[in-house]
Amino acid sequence: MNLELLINQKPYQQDIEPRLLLIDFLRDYANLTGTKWGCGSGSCGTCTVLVDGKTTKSCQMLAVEAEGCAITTIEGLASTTGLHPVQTAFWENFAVQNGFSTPGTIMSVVELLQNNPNPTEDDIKQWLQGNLSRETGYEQVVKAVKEAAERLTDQHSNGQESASQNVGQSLKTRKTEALLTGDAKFIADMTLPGMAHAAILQSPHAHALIKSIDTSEAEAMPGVIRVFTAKDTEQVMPMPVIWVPPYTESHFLSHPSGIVPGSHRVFATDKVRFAGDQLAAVVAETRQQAYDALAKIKVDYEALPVVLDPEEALKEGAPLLHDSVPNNRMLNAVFGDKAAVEQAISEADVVVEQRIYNQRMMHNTLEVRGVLGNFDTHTNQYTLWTNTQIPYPHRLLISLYVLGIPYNSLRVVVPAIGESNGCKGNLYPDTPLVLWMAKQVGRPVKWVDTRVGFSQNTAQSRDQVQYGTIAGTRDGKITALRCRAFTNVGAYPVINAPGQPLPLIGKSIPGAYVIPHASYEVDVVYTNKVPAAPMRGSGRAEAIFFIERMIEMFARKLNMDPAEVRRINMVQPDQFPFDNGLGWTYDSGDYENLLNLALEKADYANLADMKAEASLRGKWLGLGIGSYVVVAGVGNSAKMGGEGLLSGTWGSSYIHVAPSGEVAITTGAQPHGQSQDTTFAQIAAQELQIPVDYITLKHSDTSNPLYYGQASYGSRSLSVEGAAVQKGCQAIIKKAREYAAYLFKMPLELIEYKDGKVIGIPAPEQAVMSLQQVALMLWFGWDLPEGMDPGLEATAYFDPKNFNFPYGTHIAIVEIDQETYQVDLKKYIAANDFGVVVNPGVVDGQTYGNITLGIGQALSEEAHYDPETGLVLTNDLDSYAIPRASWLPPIELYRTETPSPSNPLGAKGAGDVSNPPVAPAIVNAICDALSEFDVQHIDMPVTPEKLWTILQDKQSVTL
Amino acid sequence: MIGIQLTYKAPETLKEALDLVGREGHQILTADQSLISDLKKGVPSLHTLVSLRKIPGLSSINIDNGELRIGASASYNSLLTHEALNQYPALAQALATIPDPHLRHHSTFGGALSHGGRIHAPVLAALMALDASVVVLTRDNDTRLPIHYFSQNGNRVLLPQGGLITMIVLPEPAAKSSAYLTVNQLAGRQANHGIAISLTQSGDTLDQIRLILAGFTEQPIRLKNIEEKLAGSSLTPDSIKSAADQLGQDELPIHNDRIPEGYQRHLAGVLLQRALKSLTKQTVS
Repeated sequence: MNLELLINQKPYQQDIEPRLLLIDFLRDYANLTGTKWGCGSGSCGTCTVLVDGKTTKSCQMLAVEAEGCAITTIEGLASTTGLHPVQTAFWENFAVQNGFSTPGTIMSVVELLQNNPNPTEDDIKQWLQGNLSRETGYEQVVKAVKEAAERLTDQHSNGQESASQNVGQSLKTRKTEALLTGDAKFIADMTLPGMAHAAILQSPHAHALIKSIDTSEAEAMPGVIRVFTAKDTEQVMPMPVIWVPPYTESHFLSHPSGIVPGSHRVFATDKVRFAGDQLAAVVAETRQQAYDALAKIKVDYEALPVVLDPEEALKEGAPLLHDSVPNNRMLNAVFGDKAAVEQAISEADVVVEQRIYNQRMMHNTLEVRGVLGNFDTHTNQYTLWTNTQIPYPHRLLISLYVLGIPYNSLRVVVPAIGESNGCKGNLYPDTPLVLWMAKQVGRPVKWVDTRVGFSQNTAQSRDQVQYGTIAGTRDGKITALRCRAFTNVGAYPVINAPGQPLPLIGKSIPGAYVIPHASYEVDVVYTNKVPAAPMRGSGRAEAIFFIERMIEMFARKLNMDPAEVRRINMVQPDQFPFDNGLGWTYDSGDYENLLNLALEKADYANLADMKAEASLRGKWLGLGIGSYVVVAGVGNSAKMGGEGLLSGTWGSSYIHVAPSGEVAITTGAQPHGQSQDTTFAQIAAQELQIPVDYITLKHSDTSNPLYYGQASYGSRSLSVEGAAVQKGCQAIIKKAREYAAYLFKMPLELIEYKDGKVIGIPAPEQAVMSLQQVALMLWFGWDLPEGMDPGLEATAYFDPKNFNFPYGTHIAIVEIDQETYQVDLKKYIAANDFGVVVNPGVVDGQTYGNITLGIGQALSEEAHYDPETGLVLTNDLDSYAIPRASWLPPIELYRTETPSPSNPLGAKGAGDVSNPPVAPAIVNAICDALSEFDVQHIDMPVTPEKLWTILQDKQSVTL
Repeated sequence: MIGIQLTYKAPETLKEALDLVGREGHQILTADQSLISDLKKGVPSLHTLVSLRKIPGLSSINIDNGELRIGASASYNSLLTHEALNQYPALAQALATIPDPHLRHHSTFGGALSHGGRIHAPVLAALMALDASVVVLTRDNDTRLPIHYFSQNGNRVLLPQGGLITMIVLPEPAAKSSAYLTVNQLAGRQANHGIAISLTQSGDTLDQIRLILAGFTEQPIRLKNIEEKLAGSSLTPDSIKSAADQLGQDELPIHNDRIPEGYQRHLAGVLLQRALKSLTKQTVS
């Protein structure tokens, strides 16, 4: 069909298929890739454009229906005079993190402000109901919209910009303009000459024997280049596992390397073990042709019994997933002295027991995963572009353990990347498969997942059953804590499978408290669910939920104030470094201070009055506390090695000062929304005492001049990789001073480095050179002291001796409708200490994101499976409910800064650490609201129907 | 990406459209985009879309002879910005439960009847409470069907083959009070539970009442027995409670199996009582 329309005032004419969606026309025909494909069901809003000025989700409209229309995409918003005021306001207010959801949200806001020049906060949140933000929440977006409204009505006055751009300043984030204009290229936006497209077949059975696969019809479909199945990939090795706890027996799968154990193969061979296990792939000229052909592959299955529950899977006679794994048990591990804990419990005045299920969550990043592979026959070089948060490990693991190719023949590049929430920190079989297929067909091959595909092949998380016991004295002192846990890791181990259920949970369960006797025993169990991996807050979220619920129940059993019981048991400032008894040594802090601060801000003293007032309105009001201290800042390498991680965890940087004076820093961090381009430059600018604009960050490409990057996960970037940047800068200064001492013929101790210059103290007017001049002279290398090499560069490593331990207290106030059981979050207060903060605007954004995710876990998010078939039922963003703007009350953030002694920056983790207290604060608030009914615990997500079910037994409902 | 092959036709007259809609495998596209998600999941029997976008007049909204006439292709947003809407509080409040601007722009009244689905449930419920009628064009005539035709005991009833919805007509509001109440918490998940109510009173006595629940069944469901019981009486706390107690399986056959039936029945009772109280506060206070 012929289609004619205007896009960004430019006419387009194209012959198209009637089934083509507007989004695909914009992206594939008009090459306007700023419009993003997120969910495909009109739920997330990343594909929003304006059609004749109206907000439109372009994935929900046929292109032919836009015939004759005027379309505005994100690319059409900025003018020759600069960014649109909405774009500017988003940038100024830190409303952009990874930027994947930004174009769609901005387009929606443009129409809002055209219709309503002065929207209220509620107007904005209602309007944004169609735009999800998974990484940053909505607080800064709402602020940005308000400011944009002021800019558009000339009411905005620019604030006073701080003269300093150093550590501690909210410097506007860098490399953000391309995200605001849609110019940034994410994996789905990439093309290469001659590129083919792949589609991957997933099993619809959670457990079945594969009797046969017939690809003949698919091979005959238009545009099909090759169809691959397991018979083609026998030489491709299984995925490796690189976390093998040395202190317990573990059961992974075999791997031919003999160095590491293995996991699943790129294609299932004998049987499928979860609905999503991949079986075949089609490579075709277009993505549509690849998926059309995929639908023609016929597989004959023999269904087997399914087991989805870890406790069921351990029982004799349960369906067995792997012949080599007795009782489906990957491993059993114990932390702490079980006998001593038993003894303490038996001697305690008060004992509380509770079963807690920390539900299975789905990362559901708005950007799905994708891979673009290429093999250059002339150079024998492989290049892999993928949206991973671990590019160097991809290079190592794929070359060494999966494809068996030289490490130096593989380059991994990360394009612009959407949020990960942890799921992009794994190695999936699709990734080496696409690279391998590219070599087989002799062309670049791209694969971008679908939303349903993502729900079945991308790791999920949490999913742990905990049997808890807390014991103590009548006056509120905790004497013992026991957690017996069962973790559901799904059908196969991911690369770091034991990390989350073992140390990250097991050593973290004491939380912020002094508990003399604590123990944790876990069975990590295979089931027919999607493999599980860490998720934002990983491990710590399960541990903090556990202890914060248990201490709450303990306080209520004693009829004591839960805040006071926390105070009685909290680690005190004079106890640092504090050994928590299970393996962590807390570094610094004043835990009680933030508890008291949060209580004060929540008006805790007037809680009874608040409850009474709410009751008059037909509401049960409750206040919940979530105090936390969590481990962050991975390494130390030796400690992680002791846990079984077969990798170093040090930070690294390479710093290069060009003859022009420009500073290029290659970091081992892998940004995926954390703004290291900004924060690391701030660190370097402060250290080198030069303008931040002189500094460029490099990352996301293994061909950068860096030995190895240990990447970004678990809130490690700033305190480990950032510290390596600082150390590298210090090495640069050291060499500059030594060189100056030689040129100025002065002793080294008389050479000062100040304001980006080396200065000879005795003759500061004459003996002075800028860093640029030093770099130039060292580049010439005409006159060097004995033993000094030319050039001004440095490689630095930083391996902390200990982790760092951010902490804080969050408080939620909820109201529950006494008739509908609807839960409304009325107030949220977060008091955190992330040590020294480099960029408060950035850290606030991460904190809002953590809180939003925690609200989702507490109130709405859960992966649902069909109990009979094992199919994921929540396979889109309609059935898996992510918090939307209107769910959230204004969030109040408070922060103290207690430096960590674990790194020279004094920094502590921030990226995911403030997620763990959120869910327990909310569930504690809900249980507090229902205290008159003696509700001890409610498993998440706490839905109105769950409350109704529980209260059926507790009250006589009168309306 | 849509996996099925499609043919697309956009007739320019109603006559041309009528020639197409009676054919096997043809589906009307009223400018409502809720059909697109279904197409992505696959609709085996469908092969041709018949778009009404080029037929003039189907997007109009006007008042004629006291009636509010809404074209089948009129968007929700176009009614939201129409001055006549404030005469129909139930419809205004139902539309307000759909804050997503995309859905407001690309959901149509014809689409609500042609495609159904949870997005449209509040609006359909309001239209049912307001006794809307639907103008259906066939090759032989131009008839009006009561909107209740499209919901039989909560099940969706399709338009007879060959018919084409051109307009939804709301009668003059007269002295009728109406409202739409919903429960916000569930808006983020699958079901959109709510209730539409309209009534006329003579003093304390209810003359006529409509009660329509949305989100509990495939299509909004009219609580006819409760309406009949309440009509001609005065509302009291006891009669309101008694009405809620009537919400058994016969009156409300729950179709949504993701949420416990008991809770849904309880919620329906709460909504019913709140709706009755909201419009008859003076009577029951």
